[in-house]
Amino acid sequence: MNADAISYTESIGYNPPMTRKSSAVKSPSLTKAEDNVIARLKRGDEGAFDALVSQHHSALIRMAMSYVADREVAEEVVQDTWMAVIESLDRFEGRSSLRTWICGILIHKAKDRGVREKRHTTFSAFESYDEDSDQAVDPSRFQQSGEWAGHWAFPPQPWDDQTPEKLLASQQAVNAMQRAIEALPATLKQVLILRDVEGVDAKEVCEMLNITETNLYVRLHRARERVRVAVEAYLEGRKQRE
Amino acid sequence: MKDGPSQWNESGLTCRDVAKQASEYLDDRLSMLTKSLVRSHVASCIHCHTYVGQLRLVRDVAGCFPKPYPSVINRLRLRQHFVRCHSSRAE
Repeated sequence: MNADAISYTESIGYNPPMTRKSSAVKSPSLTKAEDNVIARLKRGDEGAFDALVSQHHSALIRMAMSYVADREVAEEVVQDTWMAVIESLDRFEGRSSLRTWICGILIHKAKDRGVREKRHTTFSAFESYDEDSDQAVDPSRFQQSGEWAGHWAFPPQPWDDQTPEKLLASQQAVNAMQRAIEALPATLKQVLILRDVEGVDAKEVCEMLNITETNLYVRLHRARERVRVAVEAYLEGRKQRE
Repeated sequence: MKDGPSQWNESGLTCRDVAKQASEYLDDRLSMLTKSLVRSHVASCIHCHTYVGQLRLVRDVAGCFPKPYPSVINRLRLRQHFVRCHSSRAE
């Protein structure tokens, strides 16, 4: 059974006989720090549990939002996830990182809930997304033929708000970014949230989502470009209004 | 910073090539050779310089969004459940 399948089955509390034989051999997935956290959790250390929740809650909420449209439902899914984490802690054998394991539980619960909530879910969450044909940057922005083929036909215009601080200072620009992220198809939203919003290492994102690094960067680039276009549209609209 | 086919001859990349690899470039996932070719193009092409800068800004601002935390009541419920399940070991 590969690492991704182990992580997923472990996350839903299922330990098939074949994995029990190998349970004595721990994967190198856990760092010493994680080993320490797990030991403290299994000893009933409330402080360790509080710290765990503080560390991962944000990522879980954002991940849940890619499966269910409603923030309130996402909160319920994440609360259920934490309950399951508490109840399954003794069954966690360290074959994946703690975060991957927790995310596996979340994804399992969020998918179930997402299917049940489907009639209330916005189109974007179930938007079909063709990885092979979708170009990250709109091809019409480049010259298609001639000596200048591949050169910008419609280049990006410099933004006045060119530093994170300036952009963050504009609540409406930030709102435009957040709306664009919310509108992403689930497969793109997940990678952007984990990698850019939550700062999860690329290798761990691949493990959580069971994708290759190539897939990750194809999706991430498309997600970033869509958000960039949304900010571009907002800022250009603002310029015209001034 | 006037760009055109003569600059591309140096890097061997078009603007479309650079735009396609921009995220990998930003996150330092390219090979040394490709990274230096992209860097060379970006240094000589104002539009690609702008594009890469905007993508970097999107990435960096996304990392600054405030983090949601559980409500007080939900956090309390979680703590109570944790204590119920694991308190016998907390000596």
